[in-house]
Amino acid sequence: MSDHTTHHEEHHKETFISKYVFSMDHKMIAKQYLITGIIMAVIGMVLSILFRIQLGWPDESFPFLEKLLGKWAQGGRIDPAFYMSMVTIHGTIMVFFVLTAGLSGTFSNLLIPLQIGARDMASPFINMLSYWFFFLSSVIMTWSLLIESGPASGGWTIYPPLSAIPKAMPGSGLGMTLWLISMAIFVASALMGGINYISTVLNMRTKGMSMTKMPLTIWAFLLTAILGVLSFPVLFAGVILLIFDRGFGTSFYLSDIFIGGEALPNHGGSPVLFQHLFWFLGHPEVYIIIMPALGISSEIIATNARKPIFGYRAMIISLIGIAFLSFIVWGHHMFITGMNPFLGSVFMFTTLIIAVPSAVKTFNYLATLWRGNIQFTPAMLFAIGLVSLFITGGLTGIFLGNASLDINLHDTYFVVAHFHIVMGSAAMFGMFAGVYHWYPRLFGKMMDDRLGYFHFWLTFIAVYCVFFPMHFMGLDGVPRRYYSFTSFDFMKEWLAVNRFISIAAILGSLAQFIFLYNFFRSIFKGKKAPQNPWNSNTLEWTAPVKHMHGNWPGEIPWVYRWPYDYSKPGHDEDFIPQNVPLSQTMSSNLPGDYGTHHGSKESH
Amino acid sequence: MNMSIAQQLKSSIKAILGLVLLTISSTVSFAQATMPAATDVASQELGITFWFYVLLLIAAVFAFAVVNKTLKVLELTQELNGKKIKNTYNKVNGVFFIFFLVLFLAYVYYEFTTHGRMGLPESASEHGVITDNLFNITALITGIVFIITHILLFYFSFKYKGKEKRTAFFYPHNDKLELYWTIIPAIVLAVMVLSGWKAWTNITAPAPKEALTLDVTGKQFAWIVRYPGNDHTLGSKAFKLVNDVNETGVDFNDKNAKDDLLVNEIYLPVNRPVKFNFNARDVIHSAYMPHFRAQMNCVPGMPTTFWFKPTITTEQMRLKTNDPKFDYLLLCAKVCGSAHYNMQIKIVVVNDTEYATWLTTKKPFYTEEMAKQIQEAAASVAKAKEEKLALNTHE
Repeated sequence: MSDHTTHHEEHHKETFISKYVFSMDHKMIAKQYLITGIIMAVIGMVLSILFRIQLGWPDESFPFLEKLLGKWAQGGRIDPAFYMSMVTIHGTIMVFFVLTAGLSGTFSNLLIPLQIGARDMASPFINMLSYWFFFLSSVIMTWSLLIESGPASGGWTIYPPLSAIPKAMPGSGLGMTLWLISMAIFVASALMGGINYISTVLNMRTKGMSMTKMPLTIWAFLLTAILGVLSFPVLFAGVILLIFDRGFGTSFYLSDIFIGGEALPNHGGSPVLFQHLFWFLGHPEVYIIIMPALGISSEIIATNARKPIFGYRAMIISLIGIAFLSFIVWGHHMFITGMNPFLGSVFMFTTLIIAVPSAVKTFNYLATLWRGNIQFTPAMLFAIGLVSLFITGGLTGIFLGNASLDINLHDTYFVVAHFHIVMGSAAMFGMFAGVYHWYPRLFGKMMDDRLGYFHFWLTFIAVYCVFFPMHFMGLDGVPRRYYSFTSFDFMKEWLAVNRFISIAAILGSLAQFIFLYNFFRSIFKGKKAPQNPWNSNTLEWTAPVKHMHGNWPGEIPWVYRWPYDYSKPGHDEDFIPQNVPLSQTMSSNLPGDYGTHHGSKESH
Repeated sequence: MNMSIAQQLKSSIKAILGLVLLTISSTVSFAQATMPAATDVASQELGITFWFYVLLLIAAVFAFAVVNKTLKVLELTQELNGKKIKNTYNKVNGVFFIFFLVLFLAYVYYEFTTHGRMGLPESASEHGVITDNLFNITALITGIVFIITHILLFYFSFKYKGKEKRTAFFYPHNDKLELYWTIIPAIVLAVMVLSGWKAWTNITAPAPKEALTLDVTGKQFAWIVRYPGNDHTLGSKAFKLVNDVNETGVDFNDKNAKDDLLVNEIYLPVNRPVKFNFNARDVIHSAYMPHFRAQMNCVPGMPTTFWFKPTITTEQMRLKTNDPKFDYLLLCAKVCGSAHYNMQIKIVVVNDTEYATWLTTKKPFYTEEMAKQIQEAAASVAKAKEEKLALNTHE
């Protein structure tokens, strides 16, 4: 065994650069993804606070805004064009850079090799490239905030012609070009990551780790990666065509346009084509965001309820169902774009079907909590918070998926409330849960629980205070992406509510500094992590706390059982790790444990 | 010293109350205290508001520090007494979930009863009554699910909070139960799909023949509305004819166009179907008429359409809402540029006689003088184009 250890350490004489910068070790890459994601999240959060100030106090001027934003807030009032830019970049950063790369990138990288028992990713080099492409695209996106004409400002969905014609608004010039370049690089990064995750999960599982013995996290990451690999190229195609329309005079999306005093020569294109291409990624993207969060919460809820996840197979089947259906529901974003109404009926049907597997998952979470022995770690609190948000946001999806109701709700604050709760906050809660739970694995230190509790309760309350009233604004016909609500008499009554939302948002974002303090302080001053702090069954807790190349000294542990043998009757402890052979737990074995799945036999 | 404080803090409930107070005071009362400021925006008050916030922030940080230290003391004493800290926090958080459940349900009730009442008045269109009905049924069903699942979620969190002696119940699956909660949602959703589908096909069916047809064009940042005039037929248009005078590019060689009207407010006769032909001239806009539960995108290069039957006149609605200033509106709901937030046109629903009188006050916008202007504008465009080409050949 010790031979192996020395063998591995000899191979890698590491310099600072190869260890911390251009690292090919999946654990280091996970940390890089996480910290970049956190930085991007802070930028996204600050932007949201700035535009919440505008929405909460539309008639007041704040001198500090002028100091901060310069010409974009002359006289202390935010410029309408820059307001649009902030909304756009907030959406882009949160959706792609934080909840896609930050969430999936961090936890897929950390957990796939460790939980399936692999020494590293299938291709560590491509994995490293994936991070650095992501880093490059983050830099470009952040840089676009600083250019003179302002960043992209047509909304994160960048519908042409608004995004295609620089004359249409200031942000559609250089800002949009940078946005497109950044996204093209981002897609390349997501694809390299995704291919790696898929090939690692399919090919590199340790002995005994059959597909039906994998933790639900891995199932979620695998399906997420498949979604990404199948849908991101379509966005890439859409982006390339848009670049052509902008720069090379093609007419894929443009036709019959008169703008800035002249008629453009473009003819025969269709703006709706872009929407189809965009939402063909855009809808799976929503599940790319939420599925890893669901996987993480499944694992955390089972571990901390000290119970097997209820209906493991149903959980897998519903994940597969969601993944499959997510490809045929994109049209529900387009009910009122002028698309053929019959197509609308079809998408309404598929959209409401996708609610069924989501409902199954929710009920299974509840059944897992029932008669558990719940350990309230901060991770567990965030996982429970996720379930609550997933229910709330999921239910409002039933309204929006119904085409006849969507007519009146489309592009209103009801939509804003819906997706911020179900995809924004719920996925963010999944990310927080993951960080609190796997922090010992990432940094070998423990985070402060008490600060975690504060962080959870303040955030949870703030999320509901911020997003719940927005439903009712939407029901009053208040459209989204409005710079202020003072131009319409019927919207003025919402001013007080907007101010309440802004205050809740500011307080909620202050609570995030508790997390940041806890996160960065614990890296240096946290308590040293024990081997298996949460008494968990999965393989990552069998690897040494101090990171090493190849993850395990000596042989990779073999797997004999599923990952959810918690509180099994007949066993003296309330958990049995996956690498404990059935022969050591004779008193607790059930007939099903010797099942017919390959690899479960003890062929040691 | 620790021990004496420990006596006072024996029950962890106090610590929880501290947490409750902190969070509630910092969100609810904070917001309430600033609510009155919503109506007055006098600038001299801004200074006071600012210091008010700074003080509140300091107070919040202070309260946070106090609670944090208290908890730390609690932790230390528990450690001295040989109790497990983990179990204490299980209890604290478990109890807090019950507090949260109560507050949450109260908050949801408050939201529905206060903000829920601030919604749109009853639908002023025929189909809107049906979709509103559908909305209410959906809200009822989802509302029940919402309340039940949340009660279960937070109650389970409280009831099964970790204790040293408790053992969780090993219960990996129950196929029958899972089948139930797959099939029941599926059936409920199927019913909703069918009723939604029926409403949707009726709404999107072709407009009745007697419908009044209007041409609505969106541009940055205004709506241009054209009525068909006496012949009840709209003249054709082409974007290549657009110029500063002829904003939507109406083709005046088409004789149907000669009597078309341009209006600043949309007048609609009550109880008569109206069909909107939507189009956009520059970027995508979305014509949203919330009071009629109607919305359709306006897309450059792709005509779209939506029809409905208004059922309540503006006068009647003013009485119903008890608001003499009430007006129906058409506003833009698709982000279209910097001034997207103020792109509106008034809709007035009147009875037939009022509508007929209004029509007589409108004159066709096509005049001899306009024809001349259009020719001039077209000539100058052509000239500019020629110069451009000439420039190109020089290079």
